[in-house]
Amino acid sequence: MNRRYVVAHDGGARETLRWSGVLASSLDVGLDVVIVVRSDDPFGGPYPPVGDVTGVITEQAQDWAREALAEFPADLDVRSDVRTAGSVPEGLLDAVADHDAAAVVVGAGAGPFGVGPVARTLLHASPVPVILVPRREPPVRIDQLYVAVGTRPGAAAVLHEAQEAAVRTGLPLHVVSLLELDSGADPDEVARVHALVSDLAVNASVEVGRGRTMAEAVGSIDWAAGGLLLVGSSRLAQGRQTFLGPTAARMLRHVPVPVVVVPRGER
Amino acid sequence: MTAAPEKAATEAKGLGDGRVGLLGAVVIGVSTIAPAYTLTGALGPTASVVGDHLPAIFLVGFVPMLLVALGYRALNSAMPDAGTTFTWSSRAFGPWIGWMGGWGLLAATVLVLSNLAGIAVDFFYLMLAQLTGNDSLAELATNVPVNVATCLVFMALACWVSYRGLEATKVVQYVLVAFQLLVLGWFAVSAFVHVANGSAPAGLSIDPGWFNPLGVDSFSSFAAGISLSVFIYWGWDVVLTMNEETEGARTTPGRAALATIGVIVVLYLTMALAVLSFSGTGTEGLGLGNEEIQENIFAALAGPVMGPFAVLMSLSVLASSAASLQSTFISPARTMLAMGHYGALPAKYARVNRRFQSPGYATVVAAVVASVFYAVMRVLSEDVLWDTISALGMMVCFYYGITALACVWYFRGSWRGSVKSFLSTFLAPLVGGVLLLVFFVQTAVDSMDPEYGSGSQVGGIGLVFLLGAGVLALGVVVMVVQFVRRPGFFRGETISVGRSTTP
Repeated sequence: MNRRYVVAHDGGARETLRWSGVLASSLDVGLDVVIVVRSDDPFGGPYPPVGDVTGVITEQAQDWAREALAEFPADLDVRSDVRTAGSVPEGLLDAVADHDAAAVVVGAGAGPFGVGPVARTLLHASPVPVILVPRREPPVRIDQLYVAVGTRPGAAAVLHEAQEAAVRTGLPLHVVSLLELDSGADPDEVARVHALVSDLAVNASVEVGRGRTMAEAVGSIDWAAGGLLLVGSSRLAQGRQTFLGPTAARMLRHVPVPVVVVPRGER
Repeated sequence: MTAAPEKAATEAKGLGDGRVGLLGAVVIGVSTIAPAYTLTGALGPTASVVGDHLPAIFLVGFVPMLLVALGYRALNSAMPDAGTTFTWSSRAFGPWIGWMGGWGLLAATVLVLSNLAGIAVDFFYLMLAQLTGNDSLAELATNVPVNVATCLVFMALACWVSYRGLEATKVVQYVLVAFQLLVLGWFAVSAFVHVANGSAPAGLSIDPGWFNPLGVDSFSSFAAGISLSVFIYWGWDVVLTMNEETEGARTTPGRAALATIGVIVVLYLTMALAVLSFSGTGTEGLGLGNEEIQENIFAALAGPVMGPFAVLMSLSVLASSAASLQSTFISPARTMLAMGHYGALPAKYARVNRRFQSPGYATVVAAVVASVFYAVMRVLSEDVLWDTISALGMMVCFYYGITALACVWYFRGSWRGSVKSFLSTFLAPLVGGVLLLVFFVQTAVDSMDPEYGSGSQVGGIGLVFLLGAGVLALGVVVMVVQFVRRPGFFRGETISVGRSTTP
């Protein structure tokens, strides 16, 4: 069966839809464009009490969903799903479960952490990879995979994930190591990364980004326009969930390509 | 990693589980009546019409509310709909009465917005004065341009919060409710202590006669008192319609409703007795009959009763009215959304902001109308808060009355099903609805007198009447304009007249 991605849509930002289309055609996956209509929080009730408008908003959201579907080329397998939930992230995760989705695509949006509130919640709770797409026009195709590895023991897990992705998609893989010299990066790290990569079953190049800050380290790498970067979750992740670690969070702000945050221990 | 995927799935669900327990339901019930705000606004005007029979009116006033709420619940479970009164009365009585029912609801919410904002302004400056020890700051609230400007700022803030689709959360509501109950309790205890040790200005001992509703001097006073107490109870009925959200849905809703009723009635009675025995109903000084202090009673009494802790009362009323101001924006916006959706108002009212999923256009319209209304009233009226509360009570009687009768008529084929449905879809809403409409008419007639209420008048006619009747007349005009422009709704194309088909 075709792998499917859930695409978070709020009726606005078209870029996320176009990025999803590019991801779908490049990686051969189907899409479920999900609009979550928030249901009432009983504690946030109006005074005096009036009716529940979820139904009226859902009707309008069906129109937004139709508009969204029109954004995609006809040859893609795209469906829409308008659903109700207590919050947008909750609805998206329900949709992931219902559609047995392999990942959830969300626009990075804007916010204090470089991502909007919905993306932020997903990044700390999703049982499937979260794909953050930038707010600009996508390239024609995704044709390079990157994976960022750190020094911590989790590196092997995300590398494994990246290797699977490279095998599945047939795309070339680049293993990225970012060294922030100001925060005392370990000079032996590059050697360790090379050792890890040599154990992989696929060919992968190693690219080392160096800089005083994360922005400089990220900037020193020559990112391909059609790149897609995988990063692992923090060890703080509970069970099989994503949890954005502090280094990954700083990385997100500067990386020019979409970022996939992979849940910890996903197999 | 060995954690089962099922576990992850249940944890994910926990992000926004909307289940409400018994305590939560009571908190919601108390938060929707915003007791600190309603009491400060309504105690004075109610005492001015019924004198020391205040406790009796608070007890009796609850009855029609309860009867109507039963009908409201029956309609809500038979036809859950965004338009509530508007949709239900359109279904039962057709588009014209339905439209006016919706208009009554809109008018009431706009009136309460103005009043809430006005109270918030008073307490804002009072609190500043208490905090800084500079009494002249409290006087700023009586400066009309300053007052109106501050009110517009509050209104704009609350509108912005609602426009963004932000709502109070569980924690906020628990804190607000606990704080209000604590401060009101403190106030009551302090007042009784003053009475007991003889330092209260009136120092009356509780008289059984206060509980006798028949002691009220005239039916006019009685009707006016009831329509004011309808306002103070307005909103608690939300507890009756929370069935689906409550934990243990078979027992919790009933218990929650009873518990909420208990808390609210006891609270209001305690406050009424405390204020009465402390101040009496004299027309001088701190007496409840003093027109100077009636429209905002806690502003005057908190200092003498609570001493240096009066600032807590200011904070409590300010928090209560600020929270209500925000949640009150949702009501007219949603009603306009529903009316726009069914073609009873232009389609732009049905427009939903995609990002925030809030009825953006309707929210802004509600803010503008309420702001303009407040500004005009502030200039026209001697006691804007008092007059808006009186008009508001009338308007609530009007639309709740219509709603209750819509229930009776909609379920007309189902009365004989069982004793329970006979009571909840016929007897209770019929009695409640008729009572409210009688009080509405009586108050409307009485309020033509230029001396009515605060004594504000325009051209020899009481301002409260002009407000009530004027708003309804304006509704008729808007309705006819809408009929000419978009007759579809009025021909029953969007909401057909019908009746309950389940026996």
